[in-house]
Amino acid sequence: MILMNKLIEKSSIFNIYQEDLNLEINQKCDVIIYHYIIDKDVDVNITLNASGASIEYHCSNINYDNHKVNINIFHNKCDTVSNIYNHGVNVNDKKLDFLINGIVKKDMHGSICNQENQIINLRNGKSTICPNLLIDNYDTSSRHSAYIGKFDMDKIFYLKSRGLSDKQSYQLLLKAFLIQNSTLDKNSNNIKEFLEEICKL
Amino acid sequence: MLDIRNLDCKVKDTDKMILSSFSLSIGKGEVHAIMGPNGAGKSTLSKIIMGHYKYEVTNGDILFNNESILNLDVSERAKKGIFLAMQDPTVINGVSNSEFLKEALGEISGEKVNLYSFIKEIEKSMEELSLNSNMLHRSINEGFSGGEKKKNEVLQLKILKPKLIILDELDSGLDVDSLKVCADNINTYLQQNEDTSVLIITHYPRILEYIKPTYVHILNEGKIIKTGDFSLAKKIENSGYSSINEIGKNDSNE
Repeated sequence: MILMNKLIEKSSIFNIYQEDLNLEINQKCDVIIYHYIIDKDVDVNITLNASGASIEYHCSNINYDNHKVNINIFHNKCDTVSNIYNHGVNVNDKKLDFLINGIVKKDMHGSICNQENQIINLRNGKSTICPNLLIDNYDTSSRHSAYIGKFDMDKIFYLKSRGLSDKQSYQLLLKAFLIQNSTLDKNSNNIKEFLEEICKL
Repeated sequence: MLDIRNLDCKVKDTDKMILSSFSLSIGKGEVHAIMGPNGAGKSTLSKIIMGHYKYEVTNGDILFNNESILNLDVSERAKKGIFLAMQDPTVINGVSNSEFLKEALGEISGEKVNLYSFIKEIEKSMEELSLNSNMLHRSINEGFSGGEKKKNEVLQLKILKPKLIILDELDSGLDVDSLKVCADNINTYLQQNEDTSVLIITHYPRILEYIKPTYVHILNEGKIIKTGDFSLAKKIENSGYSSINEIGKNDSNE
């Protein structure tokens, strides 16, 4: 079910909560999206239909059960830019799967197609990341990264060496990992709910 | 204040020994320096005192103010008043310096932090350290120069007010001017807190020109092989560690 279906024609920033996303950018403009998800399957399709269109997409995911996040980024015009940041926290011993496709069609030269994906397993969950770059053009700049694991123990040690407890240290790291928008309106109801969910972890 | 007794320590889940029958006693207000060649176990010693997760104490004890801290968690050791200024401070993206320090101060002091006093104190301390105030709003150590990282460690100790300061190679990555600024701030802190003790871990005697040690110890292969005063550090500078190794074999430790 597509709950958010947008056609964008000017530069914008959106916070999206618990919805699937189907987005077409039809003008040369810069769009930033912060997408917050708690324990559900999510489908995201972003289509860049105008030369010079750019998307910066941040996905923050708290997962308890078995769930999939499917993201497709279509570069349908030349000189389009996508920078995708997916951060997931897999809380229990379940499965969180990220499938991210960056698709640059033939003749769409000058495009930039990047993705960075991380899943933190808080316990012994099974997680997978499939970072696919389906690029049919030589004049494209692209990179991807994927990390699945625990928080870096040296970071925990550093925070604890200043007197913070385990719980406080993890909370600071979780908020930094999941709240990627430094200018976030923390009073909006949906964001409040997401922040409260982080505090439960 | 700090009493390390016959400590044996190894890397967790391995047989690799780091310290063997290591003993060191640091009294209130004393400044001790530990020098030694690469791989002697100096930095590891500082981490062991702080309770680092990679190391396991297999024998002996560490007493802080006559109380064993071996079974205490890292944060509990920090709350007792032990502060480790790290050789290479960890970068933590997304967590701002101000948020982190405010929370740490609340934990260490056990009181609710008054925001106004906190900001005033931190602004004053940053000025004394010649640190740009925008650093407060940046992520911990992210994008910091070597000097900024070390100054940030000194800033934290000024705010958190420890009783035992461990300086793990404070001088590495610092230019002469920045080292002097850091050392001046630490000396001022020591003047204001006379009971505070310091353990300086270093390769070179340069930092000891600024923060004068009561004792200098030479560590090699996990053991103190020689103890002396500042002149011992100067001797190292002139003759290297190999001369001390030879002395160590022939002389009894002071």
